Order: sequence, then structure tokens, then C-alpha cells
Amino acid sequence: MSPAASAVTAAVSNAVTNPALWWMELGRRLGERKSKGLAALYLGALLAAPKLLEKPPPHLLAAAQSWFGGDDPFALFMYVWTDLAMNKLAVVTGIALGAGVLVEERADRSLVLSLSKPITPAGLYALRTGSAVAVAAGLYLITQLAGLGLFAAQIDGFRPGAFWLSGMVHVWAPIFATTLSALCAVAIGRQLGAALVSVLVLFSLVGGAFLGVYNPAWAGALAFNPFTQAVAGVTHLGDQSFATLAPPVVGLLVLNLVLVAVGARLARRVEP
Amino acid sequence: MTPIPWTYVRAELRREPLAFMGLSAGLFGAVSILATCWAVPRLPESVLTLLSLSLAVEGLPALVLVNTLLAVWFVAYFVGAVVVIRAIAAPRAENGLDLLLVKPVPPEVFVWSRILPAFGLCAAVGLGLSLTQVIGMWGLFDDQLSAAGALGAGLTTVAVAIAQLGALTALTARSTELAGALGLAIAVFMAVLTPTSVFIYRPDLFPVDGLGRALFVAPTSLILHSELIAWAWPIVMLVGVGVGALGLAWAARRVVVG
Amino acid sequence: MTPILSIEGLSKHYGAVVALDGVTFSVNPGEIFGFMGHNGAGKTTALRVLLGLTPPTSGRVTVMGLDPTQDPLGVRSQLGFLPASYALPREMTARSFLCYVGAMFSMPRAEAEARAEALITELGLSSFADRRLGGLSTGMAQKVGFAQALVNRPKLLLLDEPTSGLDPLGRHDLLESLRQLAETQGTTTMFSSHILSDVQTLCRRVAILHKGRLVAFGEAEALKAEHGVADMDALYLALARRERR
Repeated sequence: MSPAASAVTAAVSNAVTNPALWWMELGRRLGERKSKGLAALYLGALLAAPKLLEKPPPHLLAAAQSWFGGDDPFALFMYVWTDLAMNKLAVVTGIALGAGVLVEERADRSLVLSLSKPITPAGLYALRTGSAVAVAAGLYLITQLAGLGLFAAQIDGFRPGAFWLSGMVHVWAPIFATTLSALCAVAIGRQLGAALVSVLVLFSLVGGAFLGVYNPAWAGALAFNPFTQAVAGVTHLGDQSFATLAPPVVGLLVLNLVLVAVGARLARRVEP
Repeated sequence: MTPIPWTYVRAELRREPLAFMGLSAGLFGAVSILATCWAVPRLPESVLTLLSLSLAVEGLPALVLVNTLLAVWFVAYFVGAVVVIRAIAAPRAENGLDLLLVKPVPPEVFVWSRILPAFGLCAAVGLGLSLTQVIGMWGLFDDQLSAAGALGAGLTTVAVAIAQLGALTALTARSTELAGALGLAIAVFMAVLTPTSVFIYRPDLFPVDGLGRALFVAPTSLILHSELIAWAWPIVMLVGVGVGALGLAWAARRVVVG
Repeated sequence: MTPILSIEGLSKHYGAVVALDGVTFSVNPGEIFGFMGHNGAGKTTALRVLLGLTPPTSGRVTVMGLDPTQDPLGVRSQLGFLPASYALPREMTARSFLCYVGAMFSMPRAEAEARAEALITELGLSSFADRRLGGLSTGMAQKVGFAQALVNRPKLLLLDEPTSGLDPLGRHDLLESLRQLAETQGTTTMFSSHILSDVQTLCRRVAILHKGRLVAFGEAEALKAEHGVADMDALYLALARRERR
């Protein structure tokens, strides 16, 4: 087994054998100011999205219906919710939670305490990234759940099933943003450098998330973009079948595992 | 009045690896801009019509420019924002700022010396990218949008970015965590971008034309007034630097925590 | 007596910089061992090698029968460490932090909470146990730092400059705690410091590093007698001057 795979295996086995540590790590993460700030941003998105769509311009309504199928305002809502709100929040979440993994602790001199305990740098990386991913996914899914209740009354033609299913695919966007930012952190070794690279790369990828919809001729070439995969629930709004949604989820799962494994491998060289 | 310690100022101006940061970010931005210049004209007619209606601009050059301006602004702002955060918030987060602030350097000189490289880097990267977008759009210009107008619009976004960096300096002058400072950097960027995003979905909330729209829907208004911007951008740049300077003056008052 | 910690010919190079050069000494179970040297003498590097945080360039190290290069987690699970320069996580409280450290030693939640509570009581942290660590004074933070080193009831404590930054009362309390740990629980302490009066108060045997080399090792009294000096300050100065020549 490769060292990177061993690190992930060790971290997973630690999670199984040491749930107390993972729970406390999650509690620590949730107690951080940035987690609370992110929660406020997600709440803001929940409240603002319906207001944004109270009077959609007709040209936008027509375009959304032609791109995503259907003839109700729900298609436009899903486009706006995913592209304007959740895609941008995914990037902000990833950078806030991921770009400081290990390097923030090294900069503020708390890493030496953690690494003097029976945990390897790779294990600590997996622990920190794991809790960041859990908070990112948790905030996203709680927002989706709240949206189920809130939007049903506010959005014409709201379809709870389709909304939830596309969220289950798109939740991989903040997860990807987090694992990529964490990887940048250990690869670059400094939080600000990692954040700058993450900002540039992630916002560029987000900008291209729907390009394949705008121009179907490019869809194949743009399929490498993880955000394009993550918006599959919206781009297949008229056909949210297992066959259309499972491949992006599996692809994103594998991609994220690879990112964590590579990050764990790079983390081995981190010294406090 | 305390004399300005020029040796210190010169040392600060040389502190950051600006050339490396500028070249890396500039290269990334240039590739993005050239890709945009290639991609936008190849979008289907229906999408171009939608973009045109959504952003209230007409003609292919204007549609390309709306997108490249975002890249100029985005890259120029964030590369400057990193230098701003490294200047004050980062040493404070690492408990090293007090060591610097107790030296006989007035807070205004301290802040200016540390932030001026951020303004300079932002301006240099922004100028390079503005020229790149003119090169990328060569052959697309028409009687509604000239190369001088596109360059002026690019430099105007740089002025906006410099003003934002001034505000960011003031807002992060007391940040004790890098993550918080980063969050503020993103918030300052989004604060200026959000009205334009809202405009796409709720144009009814904005004035039909005139100063109100020009103030809030930045890329659109720049394009609509590109002939004016072509020669007026130095004035806008002065205003941007002036606003940035106000931010630095405010930061100098906040940086020393009593 | 089998030493609890032994170092044989330990060298550590960082490129052209020699941090440790052929250092050899050992620490016996139950003793408070003084590990002295000027700033940059190599004390912190030696402690990092003992923890398995950095590999030696050459030499052999054994901690409680384990090689930290081969089994760093096994070593760390049995010892407590307080670094010279560190920060506590600002947004946690002392109580939640000590529980967290307990979980890092694979303690179940209830056991970690009980251990945290016991340390809070024993070390007098009660008045600030539920305050954010970011707002604690240097002395309070150092007490929490010391507490985190004791969470796993270590057989061996590695303390790097534990008294620097403490006021006289805080120093006295910490030294007293170490003495009690040695007497009541047989805890071995490797006490690294350049505050020589602390070492004199606490340690019977010492090792002295100078520019990465071991310049003295043995009973403090015997070393003082050998060099014809009355206290540790004078001993250290005599050795440092000898090395300079």
C-alpha cells in the first residue's frame, strides 16, 4: 500500500477506533469564529434567494427554461440558487475552512503541541481536513434542509425532491473546495499563499461551471471541471435519474479521496 | 513633525517578493483573459443575446469586455489583498506586530510603507492585464467600443481595486486571525460585485439609467461610458488612490491598539 | 538501573548547520534531570529528536525502550511534552482543550472529561477553566500548557524552558508540582532550561550542551566540585569559557 493510502487508512481506522477525538474535533471546528461566520452567510443566502427571484426578467426565465428543461420558474430558481448563491458560498467555505489546515497552526505555534501527541502529521491532516469537510457539508445540507421548508412557500412550482437531489450532488462542491484548499495549504506551506491560489483556481472553476450548458459543444471538454460535475442536479433537472446523478457523485468522491490522500502524503514533511 | 525614516521606508518597499507574486498572478490572469476573448465570441447567439439583455450592454466587444474586466479586477485586487494581509494582519496573528509598532516609526509611515507595495502590485498587474485584454480583443473593436475605451475601463477597475485595498487595510488593521482577514478580503470584493449580480436578476431594483446605475453596476456602466473613460481614467485613478489613502489614514489610527 | 531515556552519539545537521554533535547521556527513572545550555545550544533539537518529530542525522536514541525514529507514536503516547514556544488554540477553553488532548491519547470521552477535571483541580486552573484560551495571561496559559503535558499520566516529562515567562510564584508552584510528581508518582522529568537557579533547585544530575556538544554530564555537586565553583551559574560560565578557548 502506498504511504498516502496508508495515511488515509490510518486516519479512517483512527476515526473508527477513536470516535471521541473526531467528535471533539468537530466541536472545536464548530466553535471557531469562521464556522459561525459561514453559518451567517448561508443564512443570508437562504433569506436573499427568494427576494432575488421575486420579479425575474422574462429573458432570463426563458433562457433557464430552455437550458434546463421544464416550463416553470423553478428552473430559473435552481440556476440562481446554485450558481449565484451556493457555488460562491462553496468557494468561500472551502477557503475559510481548508486553506489553514496545519499551516495556520504552524504559524501560530500550536502545531507543536498537537504533534507531540500520538498522532502523525498525515493523521492530523486527515483529522483537520475531515472536520473541515464535515462542517462544510453540514452547513450546506442544513441550508438545503431549511430551504426545503422555506422555499416551498415562496417559489412558484418549487419541487422539493428535485431541490434536495441536486443539493445532494452539489454538496460535493464545498467538499471539493475544502479538500483542494487544504491540499494547497500543505503544498504551498503558507496560509495566505494557499488562499490566493485557492481563490484564483476555485473562482475560475466556478466561473466555468455552467459553460457546457451555455455551449453544449464544449460540454465534453469542460467535464473535467469538478463544479460542472457538482451542478449535474441542475443541468439534468428534467432527468434526475440514478444514471445521470450517480457518475458525478462517484467521480467527485474519488477526486476528493485522491486530494486528501495527496495532502496527507505532503503533510508528512510538515515539521512544527 | 516627526521626520520620515526613509531607510525604513525603502526596506519595507523591498520586503515582499512582489515580482514573483505579480508575474504568477499576472500570468494566470492573462491566460484567463485570453481564454475569455477566445470563448465569448464562440458562444451560441442565444447566450450572447441573454448576456446582452442581462448586463444591459450591446455588441460583441462589449460582451467580451464585461467578462475580461472581471478578470482584471479579480486578479489585481486579490494579489494586492494578499500583500495587505501579509503587511499587518499576518504579523499580528503571529504575535509579531507589537515588536514592529514599538519602533520610532509613526503609524502613518508604517502603514503607508507596508501597503504601498500592495497598491503598486495591484496597479502593475492591473495595467498588464488591461493591456492583455486590449491585445486579446484586437480585431473586435468597433465604433461603439475602441481599444482606448477598453484600456480605460480596465484601468478604472484597477482604481476601484486600489480603493478596495485601502478599505481592506482599515478593516483588517486589528485582525488577529488570518482566516478572519481573508474573509474580510472576500467580503470587500463581493460587496462591490454583488450589486452587479443582483442587477442581472432584479434590474427593476435599479435606476433605468444615469448615475445610479453607473455607480452600482460597474462593468456595464464602464462600457456604456467607455469613450468618456478612455480619457477620464486618470481622474478615476486619482479618486481611487484618494479613497485608498483615506483607508490607510483610517488604518493608521486603528493599527495601534491601546 | 536501566535508563528511561538514553542518547548515544546523537548528531543532527540542518544542511551545513550542526545542531547536535555526538551527544551521549542518559536519564534514570524517577529523577528530575537538568538539561542545560545557552539559547541555540541544541536543547530543543534534542527534545524534538526524542519525540520523533525530527530524525537524527546519526546516533541512537531510546525512550522507554522504544526508538522514536521507528515508533514515534509509541513514544509520544507515554510521555508528556511542554515546548518552549507554543500557542494554545485561542477559541477553546482550558477544559475543552484538556478533554481534546485526552481524546488524542484515545481516552473515551468520559475518561477524558474526568482527567481534565482532575488536572483543573490539582493545578489550580478552576478560576479560568471555562474562559477562552486566547484571553489568558502568560502565567495562566503556561499552567494550561503544563496541564496538557500531564493528561496521559506520563512516565516521562520533557519540559522545554517551562519556567520562562512565569512570575516567581508561578515558578515556585511549577517546580513544586514537578517535585511532587517525582515523589508521589515516580514521574521522570527532563527539565530543559537556561535558568540555572531552577536547575540547581530541582535537579541532582545534569547535562550541559554548548554549541551542540555535550560539555558536562553527571551529578551537579560533583561537577561543581570538579570545577571548583559554588553554584550552577558559575559552573556553566566556567564550562562555556573553557569551550571558548
